[in-house]
Amino acid sequence: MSRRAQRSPLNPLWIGLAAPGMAWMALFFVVPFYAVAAVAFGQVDPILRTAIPEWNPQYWDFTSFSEVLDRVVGGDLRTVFLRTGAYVILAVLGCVAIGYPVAYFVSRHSGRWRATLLALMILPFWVSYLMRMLAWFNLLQPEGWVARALSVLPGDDRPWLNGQPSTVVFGLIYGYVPFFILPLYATLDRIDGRLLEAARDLGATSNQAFWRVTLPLSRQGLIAASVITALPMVGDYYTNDLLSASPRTEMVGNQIVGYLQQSSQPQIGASLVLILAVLLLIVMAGYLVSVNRAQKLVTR
Amino acid sequence: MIHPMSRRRFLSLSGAGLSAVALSACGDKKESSGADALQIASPSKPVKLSISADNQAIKGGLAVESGPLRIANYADFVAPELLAKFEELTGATVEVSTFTDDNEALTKIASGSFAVDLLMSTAIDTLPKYVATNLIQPLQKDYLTNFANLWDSVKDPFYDQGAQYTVPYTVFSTGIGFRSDLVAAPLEGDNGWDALWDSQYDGATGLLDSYREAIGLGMLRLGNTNLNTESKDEIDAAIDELKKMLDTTNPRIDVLGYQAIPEGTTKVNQCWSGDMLLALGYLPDDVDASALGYWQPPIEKRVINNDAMSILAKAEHPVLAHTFINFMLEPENAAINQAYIGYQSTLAGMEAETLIAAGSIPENLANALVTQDDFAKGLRILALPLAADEIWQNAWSGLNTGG
Repeated sequence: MSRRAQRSPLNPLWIGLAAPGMAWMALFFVVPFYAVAAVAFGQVDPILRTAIPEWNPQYWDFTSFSEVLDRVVGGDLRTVFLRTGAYVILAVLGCVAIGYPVAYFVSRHSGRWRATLLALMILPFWVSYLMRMLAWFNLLQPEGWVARALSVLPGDDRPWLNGQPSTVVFGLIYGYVPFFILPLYATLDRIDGRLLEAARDLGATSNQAFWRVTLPLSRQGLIAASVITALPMVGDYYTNDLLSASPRTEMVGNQIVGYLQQSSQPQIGASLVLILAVLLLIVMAGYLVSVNRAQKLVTR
Repeated sequence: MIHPMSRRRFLSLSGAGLSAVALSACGDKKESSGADALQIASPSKPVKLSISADNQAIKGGLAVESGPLRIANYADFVAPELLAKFEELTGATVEVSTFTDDNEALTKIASGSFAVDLLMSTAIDTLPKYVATNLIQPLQKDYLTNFANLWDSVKDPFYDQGAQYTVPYTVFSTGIGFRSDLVAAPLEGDNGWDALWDSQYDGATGLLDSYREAIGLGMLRLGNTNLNTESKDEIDAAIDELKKMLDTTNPRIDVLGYQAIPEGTTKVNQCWSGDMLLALGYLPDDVDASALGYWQPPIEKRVINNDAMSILAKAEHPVLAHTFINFMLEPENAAINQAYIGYQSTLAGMEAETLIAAGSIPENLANALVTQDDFAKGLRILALPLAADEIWQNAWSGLNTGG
């Protein structure tokens, strides 16, 4: 197809159909974000200690935000951010290790069981995240089934629910792996089987076909699935609250909730939200650049 | 009795708190004049809270509104049986809005997002803020015919002389709950809290997720009974003590001791006395109630507090709210409530001897009930000046970074 033919003019109909949704998204992203900024750079009621948002940027006060930034860059909050990053990276790697084989199997080898397996993959979405974590809380209690089963392993009598980073990471993996599998499945499912046949015809073994054809073609789906799971993980707070509740495993989300819910300094919580949002925007920017590059490669 | 208290956990973990940012940016803004408007009381300096000209008590003899009665409370902190009984009695429906801590309640009420009539279980240390900003209204005692049922010592409390704005809801001490079958030895003596620092309980301890209670524990262990200190050095010393606890036993920090202790998730857990009575409903089938134990320090080092009921200044159904408060002051209803929520009220007849004799609580948890004598002598957690409160909160936040 010629490059000129690929560039179709913007159709006003499609723009019109997309406009309400785009406006809705803009409204419910921009306005809350601005509200958070107004709280972070605003004042606090001297008696009630509730936030007094400052809507006019001319009067924004960055004192509190600067102090929080100092704590994040070189103070006690740096530990929390680094810990959160480590947990998320480990959890995403765990999702890849568990989710990729599942998505691959369902998309390429499930045969007549595909519909059933897809339904089973969607099933976790029917149960709220909170309830699924509560179930794990019961299973990991000292008398819970999982804790008792694991206790037969030599030397493993750890208290799973008391400040174990591994429990928090496993909780994140368990909670978010369904969100990882589905978009990855969609990508793997779209890979043209003839490419794999061609690879085999050209002498590639199954393993070689996977590593040299399937995996590279699923790269964008893998990145997308990782981003979809990593973003909410970064702000997660109740996985740690429920499965650990220890300062040793405190994540950024816990600090945000602590300042917003339990303290009289909501501006600090709002500042943490902004700092976290900026960090995530940087990650998102990297993802978008990657997508853009991939798009250009395809259309070249 | 086992009841679905897991709803409390469910609601306490919901994401409602994050909406506090948006909520605080919307709604009516209650702004106040300054920190010096707070009337901070103590047992040695009781306070008669001011009543402004535009915030007077309602008149007596008014007709009861048809409702609904809107209540703000912690989740599952009033017996459903009582709500149903009240509905049957008055014909008005009762709607309960919940909050997870006092700051959240204050934020929601101040922003107008809690359009409720009655605020239950308000901590005494936030009461000055409600009064200074006219968020609650003075009570009309004509409607509180059961007021006489209260302990004499709470009819004229130091934090609200004349009980102008509040009626006590529950009273509780702070101690350490444990399961005697899971600990090396039952906690006893003057220093039972040492168990929280005992490495044999590594991974099996719990601390209250309350910066005043938790840091207060560190202070008490150091022999400092000034739990309302404004000294950063004293607070930092207590935090250092808690950091030692993190190093040796890595405690869970939450308010779920009432479930963690009986289920064995924690073996020793800082908790409120009412939690241990509530814990009876969470014991596994094969564990007897006699396994539960509650240790509290000697009275000169024991924290005892109460919370209170108050009526919102903008209540749409103030007479109905007064009627509900009066309803809760009936001994029969107080007993039903205690059986459900675990926490005792300050009514005559709610003494330990009476409840044990009635079989309401086991004898091994008799010390989980606060006596009138203890109430008069215990240490109180009081409101702090704003700058001091920030020192406490920042210290707590620093501890929670775990670094």
